[in-house]
Amino acid sequence: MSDYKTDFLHEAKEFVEIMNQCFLRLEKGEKSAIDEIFRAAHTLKGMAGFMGYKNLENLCHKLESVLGKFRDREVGEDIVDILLLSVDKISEMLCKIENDNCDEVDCRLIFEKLYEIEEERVEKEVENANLKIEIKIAENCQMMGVRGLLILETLRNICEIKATEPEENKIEDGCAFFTVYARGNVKAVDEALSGVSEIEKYSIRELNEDKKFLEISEMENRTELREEIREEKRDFISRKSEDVRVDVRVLDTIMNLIGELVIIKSRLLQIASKHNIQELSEAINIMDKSITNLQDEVMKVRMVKVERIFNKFPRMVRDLAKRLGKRVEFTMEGLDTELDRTVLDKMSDPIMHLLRNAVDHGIESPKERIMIGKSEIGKIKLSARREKSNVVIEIEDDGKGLDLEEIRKKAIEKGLISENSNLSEEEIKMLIFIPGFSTKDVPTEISGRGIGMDVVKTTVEKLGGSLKIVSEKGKGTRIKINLPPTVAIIKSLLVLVNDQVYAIPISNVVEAVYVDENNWKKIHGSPFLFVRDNLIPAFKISEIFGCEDGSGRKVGIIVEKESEKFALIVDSILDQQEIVVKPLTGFLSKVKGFSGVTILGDGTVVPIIDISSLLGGDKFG
Amino acid sequence: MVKVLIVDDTAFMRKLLKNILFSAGFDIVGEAENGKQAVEFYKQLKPDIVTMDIVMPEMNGIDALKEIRRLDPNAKIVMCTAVGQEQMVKMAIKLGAKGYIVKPFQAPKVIEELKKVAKV
Repeated sequence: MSDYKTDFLHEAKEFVEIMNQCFLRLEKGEKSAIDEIFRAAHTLKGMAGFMGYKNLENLCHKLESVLGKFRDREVGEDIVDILLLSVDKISEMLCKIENDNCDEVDCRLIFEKLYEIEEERVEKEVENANLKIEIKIAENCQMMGVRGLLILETLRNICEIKATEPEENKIEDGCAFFTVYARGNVKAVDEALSGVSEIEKYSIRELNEDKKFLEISEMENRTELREEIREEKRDFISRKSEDVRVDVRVLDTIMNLIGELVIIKSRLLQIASKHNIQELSEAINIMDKSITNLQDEVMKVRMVKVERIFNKFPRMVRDLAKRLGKRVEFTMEGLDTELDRTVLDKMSDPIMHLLRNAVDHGIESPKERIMIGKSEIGKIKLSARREKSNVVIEIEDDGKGLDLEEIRKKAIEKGLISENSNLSEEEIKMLIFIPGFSTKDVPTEISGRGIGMDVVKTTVEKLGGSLKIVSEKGKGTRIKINLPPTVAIIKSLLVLVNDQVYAIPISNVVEAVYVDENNWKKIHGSPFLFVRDNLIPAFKISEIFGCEDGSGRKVGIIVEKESEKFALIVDSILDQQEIVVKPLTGFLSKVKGFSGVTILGDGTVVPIIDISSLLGGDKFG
Repeated sequence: MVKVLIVDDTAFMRKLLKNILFSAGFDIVGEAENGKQAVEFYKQLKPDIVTMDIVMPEMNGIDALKEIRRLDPNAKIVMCTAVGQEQMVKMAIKLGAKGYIVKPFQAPKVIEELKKVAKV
């Protein structure tokens, strides 16, 4: 059983996800979503039954039967709320199953609520009925419609049928699960139904005295049902075997090995040219092609659609908006854009944070919006797209936008900038990413105290990406995140310092300038580079690493770290190249200043400079 | 023991049903090969339950059902049907048939249906 458990949990979580999405679609009035949720609940019920998780099975069943009522009716927001709550309950159970291997979660409240939904409908529609009879016809029933009719006729003989759900002609067409509202005697109904075969189970509830009810369930064909589910399960397992789940670390290892192959290839090339063996060079060229293909394929495998993490956002935005009393229309675009799995997983929290901000701080309350002549419903759009070799993720809202003046004031108040510092608009906007900055005086439960924004920026930068805010007061905010499609291969600048090559990730680099007497200044003993009226703190790589200075004219590489610019002084720029990152392992992983190494085609080992740890700490601050 | 009257125009089907029901402990009190005979036998044999084919010469199953129900409003009649005859069975059920079995017969289903209808 335990080997099924992982499969079960995995699959069950997918169903929960499906249900979540469908409910949101349902809320928008998409009727087709009901069938999908129904199916998901049904399958989950079957799986839970097979695994012996009784609570989960019951909850799914209840959900299923409640849903049955809404097949052809309007579903209000409040009802979707309750249904979503029950999906949360299911998630909770799955968690419990994962950790404690049992599904004992208190669900009395949710059951009560689900009953309420059901009852409400009854009261509205069937006034004179005192019995509610739910019937489920066995799945292996032949001529389900005839069986349904037979059941109805049987009931008609002993009680008065007031209404059915769905209508009688639908039951006659074949309907596995239906409800009959009738006026009659429980015992008589029970006796009559026990005389009809191919009923998997039925329940009779008395309606008037609402809390007191009699429930009689019969689980016939129980073993048969289990058998069937077992079959389904087997099907499912063999079907799934076409795709294999691979640990991302395995892919990293493969990527590394490919890197090794590239190096060996260059060595072979050197040997070929040294001994002038034409045939060998040709063979190596062909090998090179294969290696490139192999590399591309592995990169492709690492790619996943952004959908994977985006899918959970609509629910989050909806719940949040509801709690804050705001009305938000949330749209997503470019769901099939692909991104490296590692990058995507790391972006999940930052995007969530930005969305929260958009709902909490961005979108105004409906009242406010109407007052300023905007549509009552705020719009938030999350989109992903490819731009050249990068992937762009954008979060856009039509809310209040950033108030530059307020940000400036706040920053001065908090001592983050001085009163007379002259900042461009762009720079003021970036202030919100400084740790400790928050424009809200009272932290809200949702967006917190403004600790997330700096984390968002650091995460993006760590991944080799960049972040930009476009915002207009009163019109809205757009945050554009530029991400490299992968972290395993990065674009970098190769620089030379005293005959040693270093790589600086391009994403950190702003520009490069020549260093001469005109722009090299020492202020209070600290060197600065004077670039277009701005003083930028400068650091000699040779000094940091304690090696000799090379001769000749120097180049200053301007890099950016947490919105601050620094200049790194190097001897010269060699090249701009895509490099395969090999992380430092073992005791080397603690070395500051480097994020890893790469090996160039000729076998040279090149350290990759990690700007944030190189310039971090008091020594350089 | 539950007394059963089997009504079917083909000897093969009657034999098949007989074997199934016999193995389940039913008492097969008679076999009729058309509706007319079925009504006659019902009067004579007073079976607890009747399995009634629908398409038969002389008098079809539906008419025989009507006739028997007229004689005995409590008669328990189970229709024998095949895929495609849904409308006929539905009509029979509206006329008071208490159950149906589907050809080709699945022994467990046939037995369950008859036992349920006979309430044993």
